[in-house]
Amino acid sequence: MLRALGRLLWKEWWVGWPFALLGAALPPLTALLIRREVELLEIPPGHVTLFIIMLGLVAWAALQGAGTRERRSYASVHFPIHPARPALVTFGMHLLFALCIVGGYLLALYLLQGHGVLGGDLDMRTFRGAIRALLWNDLVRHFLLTTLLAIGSTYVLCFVVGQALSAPAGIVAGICWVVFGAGEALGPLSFGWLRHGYDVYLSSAVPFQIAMTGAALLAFGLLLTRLAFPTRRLLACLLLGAVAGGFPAYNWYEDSRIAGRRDAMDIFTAMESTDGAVWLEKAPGAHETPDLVVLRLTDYRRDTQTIRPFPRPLAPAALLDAGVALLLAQPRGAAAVTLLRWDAAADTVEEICAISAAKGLLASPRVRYYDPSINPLMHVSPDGAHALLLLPTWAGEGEDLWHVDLAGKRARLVRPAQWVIAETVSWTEDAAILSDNGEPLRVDLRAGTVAPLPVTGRER
Amino acid sequence: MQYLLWKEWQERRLWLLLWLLAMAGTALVGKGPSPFGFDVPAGWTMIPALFALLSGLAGYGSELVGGRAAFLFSRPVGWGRVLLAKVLPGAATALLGAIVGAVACRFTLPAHYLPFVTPLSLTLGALGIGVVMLTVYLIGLACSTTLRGLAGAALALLLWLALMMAGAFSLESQSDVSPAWSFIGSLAGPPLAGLVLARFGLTLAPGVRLARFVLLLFVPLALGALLDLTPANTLLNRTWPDVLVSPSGRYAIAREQTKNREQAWWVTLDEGARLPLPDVSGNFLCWLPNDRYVTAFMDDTQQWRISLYWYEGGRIVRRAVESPVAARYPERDDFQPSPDGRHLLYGADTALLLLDLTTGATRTLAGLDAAARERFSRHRSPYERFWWQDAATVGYIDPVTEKRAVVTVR
Repeated sequence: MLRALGRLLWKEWWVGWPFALLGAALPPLTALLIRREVELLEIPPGHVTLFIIMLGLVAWAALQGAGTRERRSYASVHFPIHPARPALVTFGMHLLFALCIVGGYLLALYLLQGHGVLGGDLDMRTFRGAIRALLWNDLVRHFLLTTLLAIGSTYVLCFVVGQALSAPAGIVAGICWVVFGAGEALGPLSFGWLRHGYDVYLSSAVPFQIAMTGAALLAFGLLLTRLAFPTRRLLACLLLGAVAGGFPAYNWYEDSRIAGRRDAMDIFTAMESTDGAVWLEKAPGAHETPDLVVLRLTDYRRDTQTIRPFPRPLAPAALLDAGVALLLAQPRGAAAVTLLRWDAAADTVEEICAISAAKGLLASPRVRYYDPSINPLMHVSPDGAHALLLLPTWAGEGEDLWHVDLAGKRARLVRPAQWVIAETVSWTEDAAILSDNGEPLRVDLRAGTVAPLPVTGRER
Repeated sequence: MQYLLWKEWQERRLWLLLWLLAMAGTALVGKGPSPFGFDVPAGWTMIPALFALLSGLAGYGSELVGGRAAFLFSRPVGWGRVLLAKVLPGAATALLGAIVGAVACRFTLPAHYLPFVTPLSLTLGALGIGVVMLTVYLIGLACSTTLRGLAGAALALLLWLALMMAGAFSLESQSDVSPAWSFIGSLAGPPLAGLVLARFGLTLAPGVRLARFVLLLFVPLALGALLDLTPANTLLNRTWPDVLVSPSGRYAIAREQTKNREQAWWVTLDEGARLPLPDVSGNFLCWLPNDRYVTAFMDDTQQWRISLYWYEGGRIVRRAVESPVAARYPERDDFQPSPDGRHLLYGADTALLLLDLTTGATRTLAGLDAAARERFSRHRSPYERFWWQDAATVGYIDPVTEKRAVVTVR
């Protein structure tokens, strides 16, 4: 048996070494050839070469996987051994070649960083300064480990899919894996980790990589026992699919569970009134919980300061020169947001009106990450009687534009589900004009209608 | 024909039903057809679009295995009928999905949106998503004429995407040409290739089919790129002016950018007239609350030159303001006009300045030496909090002591 195994290994080595040699020679050659091109595109040559190598690896693995299946019947007839062994030997030998070629290339990229065509911007992002001094040894270990995981799992995945389904299926799976990274959440498995150079360290994606590699190997084992059995092939694909889909789904569930308890106050720093005399910020040193935030409103003109706790989720909407803050609040599970008016001088909070909105709107990423100091949700007229409010829409995409009558304490929707890319609102007696990007919009405050404002005019 | 349709249904009903289900599902959560008109929400539409694509990619795959295409064409069936039988299920699903989506959307829409919904807007919304789905399906179907199986068709699709990126996007990134025609050429490639291969290529060897597919994708793309390099490029690339209306709503600045030129106008909205505004290209600009317009540009000595513009007696008045040290980019928050509009507070790089707009004189109200300046971010003025206490008094927070200070300025 050992003799048969030895011969199989010898055969694979004899057949495969020219490919391995060619693979090893290609990276520097390709880098030299395309250097001019990548300089124009401002992409580090090393990354382009690696990208091409990874695609080559994908195609090679998928073709080898498909070839193993096609050669199975020949092997079972002509070799006095179990049909799994040739496949196992092919897999093992080619994985070794792949690791040698790409791993060796990456090592060269790392060693020759900043020297000629092989130098990518790895040195710019990860191998310099304090990180280099502090974590030198760890960094090398992590780099090699993640490289091995990335190449190994990409090869295994393409080989298994190629073997279970077909070579094109393996290539498509591999391209999606490498190019699109199946979402960069997958970390070092994708090309993105090298392109951005941020994920060299062991991260939360590593358990997934290990699970994925393990599942792919198990699937490979299943396939090896009886390659032609459709049930086994189906089981192998299901196993791979379950791990590939299950882990990101679990991570997404965990993320969304935590995200539901967040709001704009997580990143809120400060907001100032248009005259610069009033500032709203989180009270420094105040005890903050996921359900409560303490705000401080400072009126520098009157030299007063008011501090008050508010329930979360909360989003500051506008700050008026008169020392009044307008805030949006939404109790968890409510299908409306409430507009609150906090008068710091009297230290009173008054509910102005409720505005229909999707459940959990204030905890949604689009509200959570907005910066009120740059682009406030609400624009208030100079007399404080009217306001325009932009909220993410429920129906489709874009924003709902609401007109809030602050004096009459009511709100009405004036334009649903459109992107309003306007940071400036101008007020006239009976209208508000949104502008700053493209064609301005005129909101008729009496009729509650919105129309484009033509700005052509004759030249003088 | 009905046998062909029955065959298609048997082969592809899984993908078609999933597509239909995805259309209804996204509509139920409010992300289906737009109820407000011809608009397609980009994000969630990807889900039914994926199934539409898969339905298309599964189109000709079965014909390319084991000489089935040769067998099919040995029957009394023309290629046109086969193609029609492939297109019809997708068209029917797109139409049905759009109608189901529109109906589901209408009945799940919250009440406050209903005044904006009309039968016409619903129909246009359904039409929008239907057209998108059918286009995606046809692209998938065209790709399925190349390599056998779903994966083979997906590979052809990736090839098309790669070609499109290499062509249209590299043209855009490496020149100042907007690749509108190249993009149209890229889109025209798959239908053209699909049509030709459906007619002439189904019985050919896979390698030959693939070569023809690539060639047929390349031809319209190359034509598009050539058109983009000619004056025809301007036909599809219209420029829209960016408009910034003044705080009072009486004036507006309209800026129009073309390839190598930028033109700005001062527009008086109530008179309907516009005046050319010089020297504002590529600058920071904003309106002040008193309808004065601020621009700034960095000169050769890395110094910001600030200008103020306003409308007076039918003409534009310009006042240049010297900024003592301004290595950083000015921001809207750096300026505070006085209540009477005659003075301007300006948080400069190392000082708090008072600018007299009538005379152009600058007065330093507070300042920091170089050592003190070093302690603050170089990207913002250390003087972040300042205000007009009244018409004659200015208040500010001293950046070093963080204490409130008041200065009489008149």
